[in-house]
Amino acid sequence: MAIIIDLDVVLAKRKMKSTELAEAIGITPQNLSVLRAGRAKAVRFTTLDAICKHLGCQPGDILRFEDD
Amino acid sequence: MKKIVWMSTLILSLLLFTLISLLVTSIIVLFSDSDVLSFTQSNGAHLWIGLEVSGSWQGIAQTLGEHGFDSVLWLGLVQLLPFFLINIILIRLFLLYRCGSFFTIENIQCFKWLGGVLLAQFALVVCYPSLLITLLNFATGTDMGRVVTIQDTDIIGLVVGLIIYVIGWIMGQAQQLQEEQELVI
Repeated sequence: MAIIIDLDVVLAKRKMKSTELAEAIGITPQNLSVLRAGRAKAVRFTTLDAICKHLGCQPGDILRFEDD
Repeated sequence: MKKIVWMSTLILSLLLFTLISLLVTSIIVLFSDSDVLSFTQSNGAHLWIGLEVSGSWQGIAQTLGEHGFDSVLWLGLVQLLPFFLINIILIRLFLLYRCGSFFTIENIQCFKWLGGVLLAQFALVVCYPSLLITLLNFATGTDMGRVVTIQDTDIIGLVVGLIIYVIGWIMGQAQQLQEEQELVI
């Protein structure tokens, strides 16, 4: 897919585990894993808002467009 | 959920009973001289087990009988084929329901097969007698007239088949939507 998820990079920079983030934003670790793996079909604004709030970042830090 | 399991078990037992009855009847027709086996008990009770050609094929069955062909063997057993298939598909569907599987690909496949069998049954009702008579005329040199008979029950079967097929197709779309929804984070 042309949209790349850089959540792992941001998590590594913050030294935070994905399970911690999942718990903090109120989604299951499985769903977060789907997002990290780039298998998600869509991301809700509420989820994106919660991720950005907890990681202290911008949506552009997590999502990036790369032409195929 | 308990209610569904209980109802599915009940329907499954009825379907299995029907399937066994169909099998027993077919075996009786195949391996006995008579199409109907009659049992009379000492208290005067009668029991008949057998097979007869029903619906729109009755006229053709009469014609075949007049020319010395066994109508039950040529038509009756063929008439049973869709019922066997419908029974097997329904048994599979209710086994899935009993296991708590409701909107899976297997369920959708069952609906599509069910609709397909009903549509094929209509094609069989329309085409088979004419094809059979043509074949028998050609093979034995008889001159039986080809007739295509369609009854209202056949049309109802066709419509029900189409409806069930469309329901299966819509369930497929719903299942796809559900799958996509699961991938919305």
